[in-house]
Amino acid sequence: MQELAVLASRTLTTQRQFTAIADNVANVNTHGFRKLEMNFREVISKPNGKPTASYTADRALLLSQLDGVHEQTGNPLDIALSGPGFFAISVNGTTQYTRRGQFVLAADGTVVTPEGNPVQDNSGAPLQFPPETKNIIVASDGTVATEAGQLGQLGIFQFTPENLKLLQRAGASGFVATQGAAPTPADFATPGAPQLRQGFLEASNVNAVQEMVEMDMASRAYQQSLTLAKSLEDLEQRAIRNLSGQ
Amino acid sequence: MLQALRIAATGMHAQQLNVDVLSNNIANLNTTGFKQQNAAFTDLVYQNRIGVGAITSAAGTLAPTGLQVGLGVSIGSTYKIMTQGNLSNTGNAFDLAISGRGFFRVTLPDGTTSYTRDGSFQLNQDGQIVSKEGYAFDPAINVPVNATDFTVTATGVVSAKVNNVSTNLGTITVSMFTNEAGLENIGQNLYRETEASGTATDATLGEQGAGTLRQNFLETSNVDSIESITKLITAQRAYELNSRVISTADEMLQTLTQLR
Repeated sequence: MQELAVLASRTLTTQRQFTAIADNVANVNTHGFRKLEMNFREVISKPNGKPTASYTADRALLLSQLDGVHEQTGNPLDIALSGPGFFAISVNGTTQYTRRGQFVLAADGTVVTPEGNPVQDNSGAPLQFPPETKNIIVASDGTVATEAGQLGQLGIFQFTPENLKLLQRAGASGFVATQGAAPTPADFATPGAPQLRQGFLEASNVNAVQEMVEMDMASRAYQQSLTLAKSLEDLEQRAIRNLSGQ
Repeated sequence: MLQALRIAATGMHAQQLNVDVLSNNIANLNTTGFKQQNAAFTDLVYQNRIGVGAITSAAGTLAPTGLQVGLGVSIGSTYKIMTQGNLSNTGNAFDLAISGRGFFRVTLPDGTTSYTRDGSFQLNQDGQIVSKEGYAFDPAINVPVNATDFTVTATGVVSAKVNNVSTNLGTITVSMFTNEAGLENIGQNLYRETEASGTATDATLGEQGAGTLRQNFLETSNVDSIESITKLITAQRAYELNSRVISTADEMLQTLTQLR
């Protein structure tokens, strides 16, 4: 019953694709969220060196690196990134990268994420505002200033396209770099460099319409393979009945 | 399949909480000194099916991308947006608004200090300046019965004419916090100091980063009605999308059960 096994491979991958879509939809309003795209591959079964059937398998889920739209919030510590690049935050001694520029001040004036993890400046150190700060100004190259003058520069880091694939999601819109993938600090002098916008947040890059279409397609594919499996079973049954002469 | 159902449920739950936060903002559209709250969504932990960089062959080739599936969404925190509200003229001499940073101090009946941006003050039976709930203003300022022309300067100097002689009644100072968004809301437009906000420091108005006072003015709520409604629509649509996922997952499960 190789046919059934092929259909089962299709059903299982569709089910996993559907899980990924459900996660994308659940995060349609999560700031800085990067949606997952499923990547399939063909697995050919070759008993005795003769290809007999081709199965489908899910190989990878790719993070879509499309920018999300920028939503205005008016909060001086909400910063949206346009173009490539990530903010760096220190989480329990390790560095995580994020597109969610939603920051607040801690009790001591340090810039932190809503989870309380410090945001790194361009040298990896935390940024701290003096208590008497009135205005916080963030320039498009990440330079942070108050009415008393320049304070520092937010660290923006870029990954090469190969290294981008080595990012692993860590929850709370954060990513960890695996395999020692090291980013380089963004060079704001080059064209195509990232740009920061103060008072804005980058929305999730999940496109609701696309997810709905893909969900319908996945659901149909799932139902099709199951119906096909049912007809195959009927066919087998009929064959047995006819051949046994009953 | 059941995982998709659970993920969509986390989505619906988070959006429901978001609507709660938004409706509280909208309900306080006209509350003096109110600061709007925002819900911050965070994606939940991930399941690694194939780790990034897993070995894919005996020759040592590595998976260039992993297979990680998420488990949905939650609301990580709600945070206050401490932007300045508009100042509206009331003509009432005891109405004060802070233009810039800083909080008025009000002593609660239990003796603890709370902080507020609501400057709608009144006099009690003893001539003392109190909040509209009757809680004592800190520093205590007493206005004599026969006083006229009650004035408060931009730097907080309070004076009035007593028997036609200008008399100094005290100076209003405000409290400053490093992290204003970390203050705890306790209702009645009052906030309480927390570990996250840092300890309050006294500041003279117009100095050390503190704002200035405007007499006869009140600070309105900083809730933007258009923005709130837009967010409400987005939240409602996201809720619908998640429910679509649930019904589709249900349909798929139905097909599965009809198989035999």
